[in-house]
Amino acid sequence: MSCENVRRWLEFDDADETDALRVGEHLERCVDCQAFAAMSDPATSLPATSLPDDISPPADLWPQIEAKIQAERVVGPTFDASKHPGRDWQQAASILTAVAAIIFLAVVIRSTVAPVATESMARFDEPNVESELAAAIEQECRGVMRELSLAPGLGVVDPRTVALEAEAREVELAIADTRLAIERDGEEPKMMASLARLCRVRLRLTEHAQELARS
Amino acid sequence: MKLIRILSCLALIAAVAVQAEKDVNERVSAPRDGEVEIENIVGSIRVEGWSENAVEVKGTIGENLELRLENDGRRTIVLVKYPERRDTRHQHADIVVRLPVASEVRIETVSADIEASSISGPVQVESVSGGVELDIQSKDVDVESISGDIELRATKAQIQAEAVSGDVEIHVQEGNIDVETVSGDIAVVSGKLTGGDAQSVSGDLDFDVTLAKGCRLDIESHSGDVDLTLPPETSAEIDLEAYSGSMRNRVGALQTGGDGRRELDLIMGSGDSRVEITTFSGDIELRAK
Amino acid sequence: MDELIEKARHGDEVAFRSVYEQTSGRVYALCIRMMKDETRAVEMMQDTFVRVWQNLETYRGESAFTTWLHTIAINACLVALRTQRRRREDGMENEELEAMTVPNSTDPVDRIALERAIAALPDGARTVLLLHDIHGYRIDEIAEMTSTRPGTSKAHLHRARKLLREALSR
Repeated sequence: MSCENVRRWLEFDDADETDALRVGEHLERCVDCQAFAAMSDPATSLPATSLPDDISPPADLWPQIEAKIQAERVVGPTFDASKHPGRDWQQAASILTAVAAIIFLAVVIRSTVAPVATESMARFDEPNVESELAAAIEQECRGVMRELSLAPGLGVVDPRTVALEAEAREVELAIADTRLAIERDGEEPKMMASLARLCRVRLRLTEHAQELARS
Repeated sequence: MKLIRILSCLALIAAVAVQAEKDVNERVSAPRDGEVEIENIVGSIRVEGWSENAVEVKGTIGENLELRLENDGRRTIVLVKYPERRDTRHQHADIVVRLPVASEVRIETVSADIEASSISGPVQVESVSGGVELDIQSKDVDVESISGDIELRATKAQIQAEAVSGDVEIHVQEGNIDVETVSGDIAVVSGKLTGGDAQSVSGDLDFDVTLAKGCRLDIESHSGDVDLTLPPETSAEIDLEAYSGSMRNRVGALQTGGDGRRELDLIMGSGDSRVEITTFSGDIELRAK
Repeated sequence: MDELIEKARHGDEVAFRSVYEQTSGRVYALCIRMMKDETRAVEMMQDTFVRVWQNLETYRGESAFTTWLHTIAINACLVALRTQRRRREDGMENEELEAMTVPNSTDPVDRIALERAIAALPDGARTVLLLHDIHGYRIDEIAEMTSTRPGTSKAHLHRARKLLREALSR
């Protein structure tokens, strides 16, 4: 990006916010534009600093959070970094991928032989093996992603894997929605296939994070 | 005294020049339909096909960077070497690569923006956050990105595109597409779609296409909305399924089944093609061109 | 607080509630200004604290707990804003703005004008302004929290302040 375009971006209302990354990269290496930005941004009179950084949330928020925590069904082992000596993520990833492949195959095979459920088969009391395995994978992936987002040896958060973590949380929400629907309405083949797909997407995000960490 | 001042000025200029960039202009012979691999971490990469049997690289690169341009017969490598891969804050390269139009091209970057045009050989691109813009005549295109947006224009191609949060926009006159995102939006415009498989988790999917006879199009999203625009003379079976999202038929298709609440089976013409659209909470809308 | 966090890591919900009570005000201030809507801010709060509870065992103390907590909140808000960007309305309706809790304002009119001006900022600019000028994070910290480069955060901050000054001078 040229200096002229960068300065225009900094000064004009109609600038495209998606250019901020390129503007930032230019600012990091252009001393002249750094000086321009400093000159036109006086440190005095920062109105936002007068605003409170603490606003009381609604009084009934904690009970809602508490209810969600208690309703959250955590299945399978949680990830414990101390139990995983060294950073053998390739092995972890290949194990997770193999487990996901087994789930996926189980779902696909089952969906080709089982008839479509026409009535509700909600089985709240019966354990759902595929769902529990999927939940176990989610827990492992979550732990791995968090480990990877901390750059080795520095305790510094890697912004690229933090971004992937945010995407992973989005996928986890989708997985939770789908599992709830399956519990409510039964293991309809398309829904099970969607669950398997979302688990594969979730795993791929972990693999992306591992590749970034290695690069 | 004056000499000392002059020497001091020269030293200052030399010191400033350390931070400067340098021009590159190199060229190497390459076969008409060989492989060309291009790698640049930061900055920009512009690729243009030309009629010469050579690969030429021009542009500017950081003072501490090195351009490696080599050919070993079939394969040509264009590599911008960085001294310490992690510290690219003050280093970047903006290069223009001209290569034989029928080359098989492979481009890899982290954050460099990529543009390619006038290429007819297969193209493969891998980016992390760099944007990708292709306007090519390749028959085989494979683009992967994490957060960089992908914009692809092709004539007749088999297209594979994958992004996590980047948006994907595909314009193809005739082709088969396989596109997947997590949260990025997907937009496809095609004059003759021979097949398609599009998936997203939370991104919206917008298809404005004409289906070739026998085309099979599968679109799936979890919470993203799906809009499919078809010509009124389309001949296709269309199955819609939305767990909690809404389904709207504005294309005048006839309902042949489904309860209309979570499932809607439709037919247009004699049902020569097949479309399946599935969402969890995303809305589905069919529109006429 | 460290003791409470340690207890919460071992499943002590009472300790976690205390952590919530000590930190929720600042997180809510962030969420409500990011989402510009009380209902969605409450959703983000639920999302954030549930995820904090689920991921406590992975918090290793390299960054301050509140930084980690705010990173989760900010990313939850940014993802929600991105996935709903086609459906969200720009700016805030007056009724929504007045429904926001603005405690002990000595000059309600100015403060409302300021909150309104902040709400009207583009998402990236608003995020950096909130984290820097209101919540006191450094540019390098903000860059880590929002997965960008420091230069990008600086660019956003410069623009945010400029747009804010212009809005308030009208």
